[in-house]
Amino acid sequence: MSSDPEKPPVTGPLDVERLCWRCDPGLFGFETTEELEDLGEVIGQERALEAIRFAAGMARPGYNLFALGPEGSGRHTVVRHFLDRAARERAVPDDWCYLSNFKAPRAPLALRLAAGRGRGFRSDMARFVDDLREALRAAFESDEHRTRRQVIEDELKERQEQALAEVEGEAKARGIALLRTPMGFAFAPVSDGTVVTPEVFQQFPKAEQQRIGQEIEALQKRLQQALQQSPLWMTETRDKLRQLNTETATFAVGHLIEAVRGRYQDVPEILDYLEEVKADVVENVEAIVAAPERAVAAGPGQGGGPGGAPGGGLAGAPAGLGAQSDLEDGHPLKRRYRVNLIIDNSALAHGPVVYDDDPTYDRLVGRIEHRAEMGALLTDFHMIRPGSVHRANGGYLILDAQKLLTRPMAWDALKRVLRAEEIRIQPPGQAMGLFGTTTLEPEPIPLDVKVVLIGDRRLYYLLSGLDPDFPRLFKVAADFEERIERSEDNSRLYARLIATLARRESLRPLDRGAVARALQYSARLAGDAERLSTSLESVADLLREADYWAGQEGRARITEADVERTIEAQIDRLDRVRDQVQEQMVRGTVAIATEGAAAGQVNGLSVLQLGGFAFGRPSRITARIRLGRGEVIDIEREVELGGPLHSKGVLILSGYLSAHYASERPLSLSASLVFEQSYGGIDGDSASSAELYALLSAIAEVPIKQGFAVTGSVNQFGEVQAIGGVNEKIEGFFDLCAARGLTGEQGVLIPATNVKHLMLDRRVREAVAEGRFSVHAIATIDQGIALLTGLPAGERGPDGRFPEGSVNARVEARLLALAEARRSFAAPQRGSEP
Amino acid sequence: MAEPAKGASAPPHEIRRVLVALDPMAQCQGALETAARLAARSEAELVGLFVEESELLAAAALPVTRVLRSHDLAEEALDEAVMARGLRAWAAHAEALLAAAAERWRIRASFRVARGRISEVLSAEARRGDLVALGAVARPSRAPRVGATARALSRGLVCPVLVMGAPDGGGAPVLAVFDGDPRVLSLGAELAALLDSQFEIVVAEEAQEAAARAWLEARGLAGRIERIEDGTAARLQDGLRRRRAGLVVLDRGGRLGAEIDAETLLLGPAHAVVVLG
Repeated sequence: MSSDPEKPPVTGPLDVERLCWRCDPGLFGFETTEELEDLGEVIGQERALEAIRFAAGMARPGYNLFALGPEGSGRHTVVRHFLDRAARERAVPDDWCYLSNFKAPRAPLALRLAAGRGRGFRSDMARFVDDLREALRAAFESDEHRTRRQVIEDELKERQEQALAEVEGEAKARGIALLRTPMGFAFAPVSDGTVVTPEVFQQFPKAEQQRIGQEIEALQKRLQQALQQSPLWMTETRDKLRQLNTETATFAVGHLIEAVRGRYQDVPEILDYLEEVKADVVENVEAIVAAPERAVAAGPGQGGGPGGAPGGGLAGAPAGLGAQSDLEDGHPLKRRYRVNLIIDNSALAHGPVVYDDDPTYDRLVGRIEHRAEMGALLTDFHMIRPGSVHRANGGYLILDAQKLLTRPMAWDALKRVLRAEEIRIQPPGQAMGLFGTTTLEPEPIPLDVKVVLIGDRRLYYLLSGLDPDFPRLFKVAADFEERIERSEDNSRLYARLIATLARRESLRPLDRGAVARALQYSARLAGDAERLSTSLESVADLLREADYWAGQEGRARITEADVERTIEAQIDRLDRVRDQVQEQMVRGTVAIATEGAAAGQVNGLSVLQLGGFAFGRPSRITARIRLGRGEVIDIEREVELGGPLHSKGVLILSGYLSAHYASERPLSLSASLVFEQSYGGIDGDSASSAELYALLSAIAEVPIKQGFAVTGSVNQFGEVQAIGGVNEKIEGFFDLCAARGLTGEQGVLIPATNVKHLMLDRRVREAVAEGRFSVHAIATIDQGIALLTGLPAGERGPDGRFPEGSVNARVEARLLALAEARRSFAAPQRGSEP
Repeated sequence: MAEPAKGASAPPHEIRRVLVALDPMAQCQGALETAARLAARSEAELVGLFVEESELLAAAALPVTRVLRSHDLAEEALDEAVMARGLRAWAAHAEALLAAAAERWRIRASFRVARGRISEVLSAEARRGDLVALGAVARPSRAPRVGATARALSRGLVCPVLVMGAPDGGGAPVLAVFDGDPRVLSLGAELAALLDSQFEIVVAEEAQEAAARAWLEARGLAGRIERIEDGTAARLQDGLRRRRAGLVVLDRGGRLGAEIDAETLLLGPAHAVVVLG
């Protein structure tokens, strides 16, 4: 069955063949899907594929891609598939490292190296560090170094001792002892090698006492002069020791640096860095040699943290030495000179394709970790961690738009790096400008990445409308179709798709009948007998569950019965609410008549969508009229239960009423329309034809057969227009009628333009085939009212009048009567005027 | 090289009380550490002694005495009260050092403060100890040397005196210079056992070599015996200087022990010397 726009739509009662497209298993030339090849292409998504191809190949800033479409339409699979292929054409991106910045410890240096060399450089520097420690220890513990050091230190001691000994000797020659006391040096007279007591001293002649006092005073000045030299000597000694250490360290580190330099002659940045390493080692060699294996002293090191003072840690240690007790590598030396290889692309064969399924701020653009130590938060450049943007740099990054937008600050962070074309790692607080905490500011890394966002259409249009950055940064949209045309070719391709899914999931093969039923299921999902759904996830679920039921039956292949059972089981699992709604109708709690006739009352149909399950629900629509000024009151709108589309439908039917019956007279009625026992919101215009039927019935006072239910919108010319959910609506009314017992007088009126969408359930088809239920395709209100009332609608004759006895004639007559009544009411008022 | 003299059935020289002379100087800490170690291994009591030198108090009372402060080289008046406060501060520091060592080695320890001349006070206190430990010299020096206190104390020996030169390097053997007095062998073997060191004996005469060997055999102890060829103290001293020794036990009453200069030993191979009177 295929639609032909040239042919007028079918009207009248529909044959059972028109109620559902039945896929003929004979269309397929295979017994089971085992015989089919895998489908390597995507069906019916040419527009989206072209957009993806364009975005993948467009190497300009801003040409990032937003893949929009419904859930389960295979966007992820398709995008991934194409990007994997496009990535093969891209070169393996470079490795990235972070290094110590000895001049500005808070701003670690970023280093780019050809893919695979980062790992080598990291191990070279690790080996250098290991060797350096040994080399420095060996050099500093060598006999030669120790001897030279001892000589320098002895020189100081000798000078100090000599100075003291000279003064001590002078004192001794004058009968005075040099004493070391808790407060400092003191001189005292001695006699027989013993300090004289105060009593003895008092017995000395005054002149002797005075002489001793003067001698002591002179000796103190002499000692003062001698000791004043001591700080100077100590400074000289420290300078000599420093010079000795520099010479020793330079020699020890020189050949190690040269060994690394030799491997990176083509990388000037590394050569410069090694020179800085050498200078730093020499400058800090004392602290390096003295640092314990596991330093625990606090301090910020290469960067810092709150509470840490720059340069803290071991006494005399440079910033970072003694400050970092690495959990992995004990010695702070390893942290200072080692390489933090954040991106190692050595294992890649081409450009990367990265999918981040949890794009938080940190995971997206990287983070700087901190470690709590002694109440302070510490960090260094080894605690810089890459984000998915780093990993995707030089390739493609796939993100779920909704996840990205719901993770705090992640969307802004992504826009920032895309705009700047560089990755700058900032703690979230700093990025927001909220906190001034001392932390690292790593050198930014240039960014060359193609970002693909996957989301639904609503998000795409919201972003387009609300975020001015979005159109500039995501210039390409890949719009995925929800449905594809059900041509024979596409049906065969769909069969291969089913075969591919079954094989990929290790399911039993499907026989032809099962495949045909699966295609019918797909058409029902699409809500269109001439289309197939692209919701691969739903089809895959169907296959998995059908495989389960086939297994329960002990079958080696999936049959049509298994697919059928799967569909029934899916409905059974979800239709509790539907059953409750129907039960209320069957028991009369909700008043829906399915027999008899009543004026101003008709059965409308609506669809309830609960989660993944939709079902039709009949509603009683009633209309009452009285003399008035031509207004039709939509009670749903008055109480704000009706949506704008519903109100629009009611206003349209008012227009139809005025133009069709009262074009030359005032419409002198006041009508009210209501969905009886409806306590929730109503929207959509699919009930507008039903409301019009109720109104016409009320005006004409012609009863409507309650065995019918109606759906369809109406325009101002009385043409019935297509609506959505036609299958669910028919099945909803059918279920109610079936529960009460089918009379053969029951049926549903649907827009003729919806016939092509019919994919009705087997039970409905069987009832129609047996004449116990009917589905009528209606093109105009006249067709519908005739069917509902059993009276002819009536067309205006040459005299401009409707045929006597027709519904339209009755309507017109009633409206004329109302107009006359209104005029008669108005006339005395005019007459009473003076 | 002989096996360490560990596992001897009965200690040849029993140490129940170790006296250590304390002052806040670095070499005092070396002596304290070795004394604490010996006390711990022999389950002895460690007695810390700080002497408030009467000479310093006397000097402080003199009207002509002023002090030159070490940290800023400024002069300051001095009197007995100021000096007493300074000495109490030193004593408190010494007590803290002792307490820390006792905590570290988990030993019984007591602390005493005495006033007088150091050598006299130590000599008197030594009568109540089985070993006296003290630093070689009070003032830090370019090289270890034996100070007046150590010399004075070793002159009137009532018990072995351990004079610490450099800090204990560990692992070096205990070397006994045997002049015929078996106390040297007893103490040397005991110290070797306590310090987990090898025990070696140096003799000058053949007869002493035989006596030493017999002494070892009688106690089931292992030890290396070396005889100095010409048997003179000078040759012995040269021999000691060439070899590595941690602790040397001397008998000041013997011929060799009397001639050997302890300061020379501390300058060369030994980090400590134990002198017997």
